[in-house]
Amino acid sequence: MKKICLMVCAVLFCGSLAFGDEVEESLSTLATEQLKTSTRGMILSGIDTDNAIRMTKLMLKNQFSLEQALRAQKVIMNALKEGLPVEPIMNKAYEGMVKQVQAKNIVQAMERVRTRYAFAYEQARVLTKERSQVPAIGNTIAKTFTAGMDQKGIQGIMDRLQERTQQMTQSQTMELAKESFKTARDMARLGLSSKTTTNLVCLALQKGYTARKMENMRNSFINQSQSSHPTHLANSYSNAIKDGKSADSIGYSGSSGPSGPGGGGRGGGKR
Amino acid sequence: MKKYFLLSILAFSVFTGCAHHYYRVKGGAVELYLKRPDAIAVAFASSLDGYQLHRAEKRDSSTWKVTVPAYREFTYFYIVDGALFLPSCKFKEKDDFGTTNCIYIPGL
Repeated sequence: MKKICLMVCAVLFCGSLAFGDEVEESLSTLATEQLKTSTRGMILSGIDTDNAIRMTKLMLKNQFSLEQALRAQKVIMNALKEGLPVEPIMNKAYEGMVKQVQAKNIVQAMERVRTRYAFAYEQARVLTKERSQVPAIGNTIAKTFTAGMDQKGIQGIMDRLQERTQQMTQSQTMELAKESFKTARDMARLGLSSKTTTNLVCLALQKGYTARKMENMRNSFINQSQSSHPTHLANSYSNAIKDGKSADSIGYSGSSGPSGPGGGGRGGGKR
Repeated sequence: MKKYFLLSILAFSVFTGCAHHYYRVKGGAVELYLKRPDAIAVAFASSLDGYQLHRAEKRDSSTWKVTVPAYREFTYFYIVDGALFLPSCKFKEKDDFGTTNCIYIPGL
């Protein structure tokens, strides 16, 4: 037993020396001791060594002050502590640097992404007690948020979902929540306002749409948005749902026709 | 009057660089095409690899092409002659910096 403990300690010690060396080697002349220590902290928290070093190097190259670099690293470590995904936050930092955004605005944007994911994961935990299911639905809600939906809209859909799913099994609840948020996400990505999107998804939920019907409505909406303005389309859908028409009769569902940016792409298929 | 109208259309075309954007999926990759006849250098950045810049290849006098894996959704934008450029695209999202990004969604 003692032997095993010693071996584990030796492995951990060598491991920490290895990343310590890598941080020292990569950032030796570039970063202050404080920043190197914080970078090691990121690695210890679970961030991949290469990513932690890449991000720190890029921040220094992009003239982040020490305080800004430390704050950016702190945002990532906080996200890890909260059990949130760090990739979207690190990507926001990289994106901002490529776009040559000011350091202070990049740190603010990173914090906004963390806040969005924290809110989304909180909502996901309301929908399921199964911890393993939280990331999937949490990420979908976060993407809906990123697409342009506001907190009020997300909350509106959440309220309607909770009403609808009271008598449902856990898997039915998750399925309906996933399809509802995916529908809201794609409508927002097509340019529909948060309010219009919320109204449409909530109306469908109120009229008893199942997960399949919601999925059909989404596919149909995406296909038809190639030839109609999303807002006009949303009005037609809203009227049709109020009239009790099924998702299939609102428009053609599934895949057909060309799509893609500028109308020139190719694709199609169920999402 | 007609002359002014034609001139304004020409000026608009030059200003926007007659931008046109489309893609083709080939196997597991997506080829993204950007028409920018006025551009000297075009780079592409996406969430697939932490927004590393990739130089687009010039196909003809006006079209630039970049090929990336098509297996998952990603957000992207271009840097044209050193400046951020967002083409017309079907799916967009806000970027937290006051502009938007295009989104590629497999199968759509």
